[in-house]
Amino acid sequence: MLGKLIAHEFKTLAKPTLIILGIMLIAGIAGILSFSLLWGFMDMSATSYRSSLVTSGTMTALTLLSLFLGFLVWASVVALFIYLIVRFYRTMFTDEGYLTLTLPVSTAALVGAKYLVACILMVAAVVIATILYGTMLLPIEDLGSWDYIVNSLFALMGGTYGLMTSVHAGSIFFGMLSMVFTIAYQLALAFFTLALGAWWARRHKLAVAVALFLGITWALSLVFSVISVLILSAASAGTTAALVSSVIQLLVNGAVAAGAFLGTVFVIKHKVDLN
Amino acid sequence: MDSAPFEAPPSSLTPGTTPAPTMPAIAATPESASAPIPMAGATPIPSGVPGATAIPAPGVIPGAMPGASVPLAPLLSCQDLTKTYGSTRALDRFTCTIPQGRIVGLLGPNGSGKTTLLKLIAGVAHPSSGTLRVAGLEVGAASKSLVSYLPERPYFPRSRRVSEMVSLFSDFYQDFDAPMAYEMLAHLGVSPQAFASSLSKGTLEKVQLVLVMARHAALYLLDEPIGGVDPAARDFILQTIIKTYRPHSSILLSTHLVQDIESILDDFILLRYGSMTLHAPVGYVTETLGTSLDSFFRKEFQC
Repeated sequence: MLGKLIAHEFKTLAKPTLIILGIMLIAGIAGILSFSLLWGFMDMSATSYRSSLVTSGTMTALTLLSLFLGFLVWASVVALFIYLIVRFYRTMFTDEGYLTLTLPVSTAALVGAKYLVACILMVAAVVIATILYGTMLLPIEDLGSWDYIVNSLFALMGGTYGLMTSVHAGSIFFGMLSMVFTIAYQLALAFFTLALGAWWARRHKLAVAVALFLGITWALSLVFSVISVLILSAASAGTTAALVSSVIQLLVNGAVAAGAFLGTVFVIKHKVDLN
Repeated sequence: MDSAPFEAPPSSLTPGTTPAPTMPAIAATPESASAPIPMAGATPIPSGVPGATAIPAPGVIPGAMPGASVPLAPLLSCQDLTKTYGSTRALDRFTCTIPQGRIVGLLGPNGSGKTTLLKLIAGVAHPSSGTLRVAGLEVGAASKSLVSYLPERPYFPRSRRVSEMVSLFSDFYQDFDAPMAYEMLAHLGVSPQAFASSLSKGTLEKVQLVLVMARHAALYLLDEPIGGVDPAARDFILQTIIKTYRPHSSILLSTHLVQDIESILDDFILLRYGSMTLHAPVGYVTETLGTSLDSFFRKEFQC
């Protein structure tokens, strides 16, 4: 049944996801062109005073456009995240829940299928956005080659470790692993807070869930920041300390993801009543 | 109605009071099985009672998952089932047993607990206390494979085509009869390619009923299936229920439009303020009291 649920979930989410990814792709390609033009004009203005007068307005427009398109690429990732959690809320806790929750499958399978598919789609979106954004920055001479930029972006996802080490295969792998764990943690926490909102709140369930999500995320970030500072200060801010700090964050994210997933299943199975 | 031997005053049906001695089959406790009119579900309906159908011989419960050995327990068994929402008691120590082969009307005014009871059986709400079993199974994935539930509100995703919903039911319910569903949809004049958003509320309700009744389930839960639809649609819905009804299944149907459904009912359950006040065969009212179920209902619940 889990296989059927996953297949059904992919089928349901395919169209909206493709639309969002399509917007991201168009914005990314337009951004790449825009950045290339911008750097081309910059080179031109550097060599000729007359050209600089002609192109100053164009350059301002291109700068704003490039920034906007870069923003749009990452906004698409956020849009997909919001779509996925709203979709989860709708199918589980609104009228559509009468269809979903009466299917002859376990709650764990039901939530698991939605969670797994959401994680896969989010990872795909982040990878595509990173590659597009990396390619956008390619014309910036100081940043170097395409693979360095993209690798740096993936390495940066490794948190403190990514910031304090040079780009290498290990840092890239760690960065990608951190990205997957962060997505897993964010989605699981979002699902859990939606379930809590549906259980506790009589009205404005979605608003309660958002408040809980932001509150818990903020509290966890604060706790982790304190831990991270303590580790880095104790170990004189070495690369090893950065790695330890990032590994702890990764483990905390993994633990929160697992706990939130199990909590979601428990709350839906035993506590949530449909209106 | 005035000449009926039933003389229990309306106050005897209020929660927390002891029923008058003349009131038969009040409260579905096992002890009440010895009451003058047998409880539907507690013991077999005696022959000769109008509206009653024979309880089928033991067999396999329809809709059971292949390979699953489902004991032939009562199809539905509730014991002291209670549901509270905050300080409101929506269902209060509801006790009842329903065997196979019965069409049972769940009757009561608004807020009497009909929908709550059906939600608990369907597994979309959780009891505060008491036990609830479907064919001997606790409410869960296995029991949901036996129950076909029509909620009172449309759950059809607006962006889906009718054919997608048929496909969904085919995938997840092994007892779903897709050809039968398509046949009924054709009879309704609904295109399988139609989007839910393009269908009227009434048509959407009919499509949902088609999906629910195209299952060979053991227990059908129909929450207000004829509420809010025009008389022609009511006829279609009742005809669909009658045509698709299988003798080994049972139907629990909630409504306050008693007149429209009393002809298809075997038994009825009266609910008031979340408490069951009467569970009896329809024949008890029509033969013994000499009145229609609708008149009986109106008298009991008159404001």
